[in-house]
Amino acid sequence: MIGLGAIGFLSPWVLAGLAAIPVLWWLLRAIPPSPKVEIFPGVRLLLGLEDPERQAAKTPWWLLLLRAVMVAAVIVGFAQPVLNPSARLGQAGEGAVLILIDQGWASAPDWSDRIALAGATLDEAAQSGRQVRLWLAAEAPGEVPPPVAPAAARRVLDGARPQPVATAHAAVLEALAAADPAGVAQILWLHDGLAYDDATAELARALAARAPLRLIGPAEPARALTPPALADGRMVVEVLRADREPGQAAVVAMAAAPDGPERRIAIGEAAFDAGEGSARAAFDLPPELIGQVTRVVLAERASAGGAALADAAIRRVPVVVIDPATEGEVATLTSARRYLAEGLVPWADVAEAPLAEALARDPAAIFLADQGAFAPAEREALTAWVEAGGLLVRFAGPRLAAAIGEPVAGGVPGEDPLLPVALRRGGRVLGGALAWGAPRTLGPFDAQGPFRRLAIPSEVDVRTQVLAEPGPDLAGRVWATLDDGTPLVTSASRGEGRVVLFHVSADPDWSSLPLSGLFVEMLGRLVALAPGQAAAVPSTDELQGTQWRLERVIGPEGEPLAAPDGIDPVPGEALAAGRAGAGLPPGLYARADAAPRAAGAAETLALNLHRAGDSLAPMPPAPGGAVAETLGGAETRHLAPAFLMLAIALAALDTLATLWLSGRLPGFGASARRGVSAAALAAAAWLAAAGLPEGGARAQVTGDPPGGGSATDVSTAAETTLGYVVTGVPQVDRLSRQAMIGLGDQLLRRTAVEPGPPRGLDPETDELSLIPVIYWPLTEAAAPTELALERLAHYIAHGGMLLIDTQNGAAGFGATPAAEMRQIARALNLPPLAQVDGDHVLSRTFYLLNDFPGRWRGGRVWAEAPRPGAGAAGEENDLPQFDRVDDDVSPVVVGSADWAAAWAVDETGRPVVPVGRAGDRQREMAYRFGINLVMYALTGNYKSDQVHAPAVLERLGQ
Amino acid sequence: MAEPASRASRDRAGWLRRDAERISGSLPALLVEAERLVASVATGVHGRRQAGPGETFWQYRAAQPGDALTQIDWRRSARSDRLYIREMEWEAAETVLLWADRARSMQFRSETVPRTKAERAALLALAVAVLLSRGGERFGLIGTEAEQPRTGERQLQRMAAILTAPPAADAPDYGAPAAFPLPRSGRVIFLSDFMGPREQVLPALQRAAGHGIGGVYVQILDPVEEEFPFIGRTRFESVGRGVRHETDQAAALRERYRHRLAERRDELAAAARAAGWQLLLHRTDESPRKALLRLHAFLGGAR
Repeated sequence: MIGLGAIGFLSPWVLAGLAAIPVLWWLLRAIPPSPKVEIFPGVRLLLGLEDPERQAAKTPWWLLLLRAVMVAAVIVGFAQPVLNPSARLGQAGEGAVLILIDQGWASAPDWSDRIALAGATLDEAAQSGRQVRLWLAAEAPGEVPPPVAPAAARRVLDGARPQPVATAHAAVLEALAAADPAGVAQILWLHDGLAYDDATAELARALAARAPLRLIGPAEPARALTPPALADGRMVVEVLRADREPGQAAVVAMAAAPDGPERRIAIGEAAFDAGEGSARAAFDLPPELIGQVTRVVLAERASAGGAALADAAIRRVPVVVIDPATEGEVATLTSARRYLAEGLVPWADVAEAPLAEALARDPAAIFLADQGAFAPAEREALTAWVEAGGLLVRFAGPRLAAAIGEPVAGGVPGEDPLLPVALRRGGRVLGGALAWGAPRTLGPFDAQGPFRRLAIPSEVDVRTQVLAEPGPDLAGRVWATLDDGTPLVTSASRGEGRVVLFHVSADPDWSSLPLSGLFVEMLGRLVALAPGQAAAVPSTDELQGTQWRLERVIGPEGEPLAAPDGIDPVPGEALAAGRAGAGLPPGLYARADAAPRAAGAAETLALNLHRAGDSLAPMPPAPGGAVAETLGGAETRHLAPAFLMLAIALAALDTLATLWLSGRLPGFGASARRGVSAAALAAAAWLAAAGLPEGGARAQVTGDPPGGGSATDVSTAAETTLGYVVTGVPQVDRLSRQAMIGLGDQLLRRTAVEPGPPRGLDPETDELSLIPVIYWPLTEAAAPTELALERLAHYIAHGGMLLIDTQNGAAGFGATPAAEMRQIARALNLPPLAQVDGDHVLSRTFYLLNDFPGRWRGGRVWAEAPRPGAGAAGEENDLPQFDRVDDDVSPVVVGSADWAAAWAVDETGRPVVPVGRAGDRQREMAYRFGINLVMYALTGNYKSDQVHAPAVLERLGQ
Repeated sequence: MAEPASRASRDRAGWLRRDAERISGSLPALLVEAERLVASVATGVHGRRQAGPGETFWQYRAAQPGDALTQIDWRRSARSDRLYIREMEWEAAETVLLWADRARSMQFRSETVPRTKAERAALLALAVAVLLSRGGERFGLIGTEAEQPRTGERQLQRMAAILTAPPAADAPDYGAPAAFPLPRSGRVIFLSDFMGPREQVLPALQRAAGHGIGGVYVQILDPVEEEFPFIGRTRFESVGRGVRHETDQAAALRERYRHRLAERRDELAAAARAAGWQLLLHRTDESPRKALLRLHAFLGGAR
């Protein structure tokens, strides 16, 4: 195998074929693709046309490149490339290979990677026919294994699981030194990334000195957990790590109710600071849930070390309730002792004892109800206990109130170490028969105090309390107040311990607090504060002579497993260290001897791999000559299928490209080109629109520069110009233009009107006032915009004339949507229209006409209705109708005869559209109408006196 | 085997006739208006707006010395003191000669077009013939046995049979109007793609124009021949495979091909204009009615 970095080839000789690619390149360039044959009669016109560039006769370069890559992919594919070849043994070396695998807990997270790598190495050794010493090292590595065939080592490897113990590198080092194995040509050490004392570094040096060494470790060493402990009322877990980068870890807390299944109840986050080897994950759990926690485990990369069984450190703490009032008596149902004992049962192991005995039990907390003055000895012992870390919770009462102000022996006057605050003599009575004030309810709890977030019942009232002496440090000691702010619960630390005072009694005499559920909750919170609690591991004295049997063992993934059968009990002395170790797998141990138990003695013990204060050290740097690698990541992959697939895909692409080149890809080439050109057009239009200055755009819209018109406008004004409205429909516009040309020719030929070239008008932008008459083909395909209508309305209101032609023949406006036509008429501000009859001046201006055919006959023509009364004054009543409109010219003439089609001529002067069945007669009449119309527009009512002709002639005749 | 072939031929003649009748059915009877008045031997149904031999009354005129006595209309003369002669409108038939190109280049159609150029040419020729026949005009098909101008259903049938016959095996790649016996008057309609060498196309025109005969060139092209939509490496061959041209970038030739086509048209149009002829352009994807309307306008409409 030949390797190129991360890629190796199993059949490298095939790569020689790559040398053929330049030849292929030349061949492909020389042979263009075969042309496609098109039958094309117009080929004669093509004769003599040369291709613009001869280069195109050759295959285009990108197609060549495509094919070259394709061939290269085939060649490389058949050379069987391998990504990340596991060439860890190398070519050289004949002797046995020593594979040392750390099997401790820290190798569990990436165990499968280790197995895979070791397996690949075994395969490699098998290929080169070498023997293997596979050495799995956990807590007791034993002797150096003898060299075996890789297949046999494979079986051992497959059956191996990580052990829930620390890897004993020291033992490995000893065994290595003792055995001094011969014939080891190479050593692979799959270590777990952790250093165990100095033995690890020494082992690395020893291995490197023996043979070429490869150190293969995890990218990130495993992390470990310490058993959960209580701190400040929370359950905390230390997460240990060997690396020192900033990071995060999540810890899952598992809990089990009595006789219930284990379930996860909380996840705690630990944030590592750079350089810190440990971080603390805190769980803000209710005390009763903390009591149920069985173990904690890392959410990711779990291992036996990354899990910890909960031990006595978070178990129910022993507390003592002391009620001097009922000492030696049977507790009544209303005594403070009973309230305290019942309230504490959910949270702690409660014992009732006199003060003298209580300290002997070494409780975590002492709940002291209504104690007045202490005996000096008691006070001294209790103070010492508190300062050593005890939690003393005191309740007020008549005795305490009576003892206020008594000097404390050996102490500062007014400063009682067993009270958190100084008290005022004389209590406070609220709501009594002789008191003014009503009973007080509870105020909000201190947000940082232990009672934070407890629900405050409204029915709790306080009738009597002892009052704290005001002082500058009082506020910092108050945990709970009444609603008027007077302290209800105060606390102060004393040495390692703490003193808490309820300013009310523990029985319902002074307040209803002991009757409420809140009282129990508050006691629970106080218990959670109890420091030290029980020792996680009993003292060596207690363990002396006891026997313990492993009941449950922590599995490699941190899960608790039933302990295997046949394990002998271990003597209690071995457990005294409080941690798992050699011969002591981590797990739960139960006492297995029949010796008499001391009071409160533990029945079970949990041993974990790590304890608070432990730390993990990273693997030291590899010694000189050794190669360090990272485990996992890229695994060996065969790339031949990928390369061959690439070649096939390229071949398909090549086929498409060849088809496209020769134009045989149906529909693609043309549409693609069209798409490209359309996109280019759109881009150009966008650029033009974007580049147009705003002022210019506005000037175009208004189209009415005050200074003067455009050159077109000038020429329009210089000659009589026929105009037509550009609708945007190409056929209609072309026909309109041809019609204006044809009508202009006829005008030129027959009349004194000599029109210039016709002008297409966009009513939105063009200057309309220069045109005497505008032809407007009002087709459905081109509805006018509002601006256009507005400007046209302005045009006809100021002397212009519009010839509106709906071009639909006899159907006329009946075929156009009436609403639409009405809308246009309203927008144009049209006068009332009347049908043009034979007496209208329009029929007299040049020719005498009876009808006004265009392409169609029989359509009606409408013009402004004669104005009632206009012109009637002084005239005879029998005058024809047209005389009544002699004062004005109709601003619009509306018809549907499609005059444009009749007028239109092409460049050679021939008619464009055949008109009518009777040949040229109809076209002639259409021209006559057009001439009449232009005359009507130009001369106005001048010809309306034609109507007098019959009367004049008649008079002349007489 | 001959019988199915002839039946197919009859069927083709059938549709051609049917199509021709359909597109000509909506037109008025064709009234061919001769542009120049030349003595014609045959009396047709076509008024010359001039007194002459015919059946339609034209005018009464006063008898003059030299008029034959039999010409006097006695009924009219009896109503006045003078003698009147009843004159008839001079009626004459127009002669129209048609030429439909039957060369191989006409046997072409692109994929989007239903009919070949030859079929379109035959259809137009026959449609014109139908119109002429209804108008009583005389018509003939140049280069065939129906060349002698006649009118009537027989001539129509003969023409249809010729036009629907399968193309000759030895047809040339490109057609040119053959020499034909020029009538003394009348018009000529050439239906072809005029893709052949210009030296073959133009002389016939010049020869006909030299005799003072009007005519029209109808250039029938396939849309592909106008648009030249080809791309890529292509070898173009004529229908008869006689002419070939190979290119590597057909698309690059498009503009120059169109330019040459426009040149050819301008040439034809210029020659036609010089001789007083016309050039009509027709594409096989257009309606044949449009071309027929133009031909109708040419024959009778335009003055």
